[in-house]
Amino acid sequence: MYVCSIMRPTNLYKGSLNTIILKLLSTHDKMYGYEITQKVKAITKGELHITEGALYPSLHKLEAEGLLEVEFVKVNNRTRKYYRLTEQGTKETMRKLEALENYIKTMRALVSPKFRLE
Amino acid sequence: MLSNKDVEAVECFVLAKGITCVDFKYEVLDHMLTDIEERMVMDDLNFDIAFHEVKKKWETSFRSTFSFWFGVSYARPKIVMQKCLKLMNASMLNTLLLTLTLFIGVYFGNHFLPIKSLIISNIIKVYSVICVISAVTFLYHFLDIRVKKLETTYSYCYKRHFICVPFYNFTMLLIENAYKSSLNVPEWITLMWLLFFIAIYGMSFAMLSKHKTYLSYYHLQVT
Repeated sequence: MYVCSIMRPTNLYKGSLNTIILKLLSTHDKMYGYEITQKVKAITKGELHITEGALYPSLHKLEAEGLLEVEFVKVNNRTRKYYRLTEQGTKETMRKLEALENYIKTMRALVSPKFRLE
Repeated sequence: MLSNKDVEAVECFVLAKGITCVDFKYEVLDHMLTDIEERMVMDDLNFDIAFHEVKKKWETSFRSTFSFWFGVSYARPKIVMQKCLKLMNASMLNTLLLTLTLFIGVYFGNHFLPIKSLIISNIIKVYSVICVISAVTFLYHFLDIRVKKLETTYSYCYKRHFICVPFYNFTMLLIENAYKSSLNVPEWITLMWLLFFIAIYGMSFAMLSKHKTYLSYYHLQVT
C-alpha cells in the first residue's frame, strides 16, 4: 500500500507521526532523517511511508519543544544531523505511548464486538 | 560512495530550489544523497537515473509557495515555508499576549507609578526614540545576517517580517505628529498601539536569538 504524509487512503496515522518518531528514537541511541523513514518502512513492511515533507517539520518541532537534541557529524563528504531523545523527550514518549495504547484499546472496543474494556 | 562532482550537482539543485536555510539545507542534502546512494546500490541504477527519481520524490516539498505574512514576492519551498509560518504564528500569538500583559501592567500600575501619564504626555518623543533604536539595531542585524551568508528559518522570519518595525514606528510618529489633535484617539488605543510595537520588537530579538543559538551550535559541532 502506498502511503503519503503519512497515509494516502486515510489520514488515521497523521496524528501519530510524532509518537512514531519518539518511539523509534527511544529504541535507538541516535538517528538521522533518512534512517527514520527507512526504519518505519522496514518495520511496517512498506505499509507506512513517512514523506520528507512531513518528517522534517515534525523533527524540527520536537527539537524546538526540547524533546530532541541534535548532533552534527561529518560523514563522508557531507554533514549529517542526528537526533537523540532528551530526558524530557523520554518522559514524553512514555506519556504519548500510553495515550496511544488507550486510544487503540478504546477503538478496538468500539469496532470489535468481542473485545471489552476492563 | 558518490563523487564530489555528484555531491556538488545535488547541492546545486537543492540551492536552486531555494533550500538555503542552514537548518534544512544540510539535512535535505544528506537525505537526498543517501537516497541516491541506496538506489544506485540496491536497484543498480546510475547516478543520473537515481538522482532523477529522488528529485521526483521531493517535488511536492520543493514546490515554491508564498505567504501574505512574508510577502507575495518572497516565495520559498513548501517545506521551508511551513516551518516559517508555524514560527510566525507562534511569535504573533506571543506578541499579542505580551502586549496585553504590558498594557495591563502600565494601565493599572499607573496608580503606583505614573508611567502611563509619562508615556502619553511624551508620546512623540517615545516614538522617536523607539524608531531610531529599532532602525539602527535592525539595520545592524540585517547586514550581519547578509554578510555572514548563513540563513536559518529564524533569520528569514526576522528579515522578512520584523524589519518593518522601524517603518511602522516612523509612520506612527508622522501620524501622531501631524494629526494627533484632529484624530482625537483615546489614550488607551495610543498606549496599546505603542506597546504592540514594543512587543514586536521584543519578539524579534527572541527570533534573532534562536537564529544565533542555532548557528553557534552548528559551528561548534561542524567546524
